[in-house]
Amino acid sequence: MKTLTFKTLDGRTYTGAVKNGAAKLGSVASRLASRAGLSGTFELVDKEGVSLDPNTPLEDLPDGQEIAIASELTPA
Amino acid sequence: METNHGAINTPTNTHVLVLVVRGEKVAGRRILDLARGGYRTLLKELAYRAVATDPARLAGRPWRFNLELEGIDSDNPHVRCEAWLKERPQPLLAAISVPVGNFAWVGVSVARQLKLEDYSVHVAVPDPDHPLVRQSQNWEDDDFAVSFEAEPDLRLPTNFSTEPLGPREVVRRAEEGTWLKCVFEPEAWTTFLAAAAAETEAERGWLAAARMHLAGDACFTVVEELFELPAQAGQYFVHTQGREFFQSHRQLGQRLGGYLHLHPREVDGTALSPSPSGPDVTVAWNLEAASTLWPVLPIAMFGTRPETCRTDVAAHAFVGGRIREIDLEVAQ
Repeated sequence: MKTLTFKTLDGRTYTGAVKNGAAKLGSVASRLASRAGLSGTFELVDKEGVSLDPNTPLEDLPDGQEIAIASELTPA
Repeated sequence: METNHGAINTPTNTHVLVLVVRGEKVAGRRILDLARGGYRTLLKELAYRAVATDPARLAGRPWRFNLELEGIDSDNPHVRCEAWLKERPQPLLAAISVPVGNFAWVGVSVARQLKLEDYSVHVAVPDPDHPLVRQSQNWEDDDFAVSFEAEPDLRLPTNFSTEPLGPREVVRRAEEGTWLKCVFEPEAWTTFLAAAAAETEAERGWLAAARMHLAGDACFTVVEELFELPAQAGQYFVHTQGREFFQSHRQLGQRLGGYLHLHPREVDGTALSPSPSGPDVTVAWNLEAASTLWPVLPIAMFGTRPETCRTDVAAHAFVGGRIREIDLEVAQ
């Protein structure tokens, strides 16, 4: 079973197993961000800071992928 | 990364329900689990108050955070937070009590997202059996099963100074009685004012490298250096993408302590004020999640000059769970 790790910038970590490979990365990350008490919009990046497409199905990510949930700052 | 966040002991219900009401109908609501993310501001305030009791001995030591709702059957429930040293003996270092009504700002944010103008916000402690509480406690995702969840251990802060602050020019003396104050190093202040004086076209924002400063019964965020936010900017917006913030966060590390925002005096004929907008509040909330320091949010208008900054510049921070004005001073 594929394992992924999501991290917020304050160091919270959520590691778990993919239950639905067709689920979109952005959808799962959004729910985890809400669980972490974050609001607003986010960009998902890998360990090197490279952006990940939120429409990527979880099954297309490599096993053990680490994903940072990075807030987008949009003051107005 | 060292952080002030971490697991907490919460033997009882720690949920707060924020309702946005329009007319007689609930237009929006948010359930906050203070044990999971709604507590960050309280946690930081408590950490700095705790370390201030004996900085030489307590800096960097592991600590434990207890959170409890008090007076939940009364008209004025409070959140009581306690900081305990984790090492034996385990003395109580500091405690604070904050009205749950201070979380009303979350409702303001919800109302802005819903584009409501005429509304009221109500904050209450829900029954432990409330469906939203049960849903929050039994978080389960159909697509992803979390098997391991971790928060960094709590450590009392080390990135602070207790040296006396130099004589300061008071730029704006705001609400009294807040424990947190904001101080600029002259260079950072000059940079900010010079940009404000020159700007006429596009909004701008900066991240601030800062340090904490403990001084008796007060805690200062000292803005040392400004880094312009990488952003797409126009007259009405600044947009920093997540990967850009990720890199900035990496670059500043534990020095990250705030953001500053410069915006026009009017938009489409509507005058603006140097006060945080709804998006500013959301930015601050997310910045706070990424910073071990208090976020500070000085906001200025295009064209601000040093001689006019007494009326055109404000500093804001989360104090006791609410965004409010704080003192803004310039170190000389």
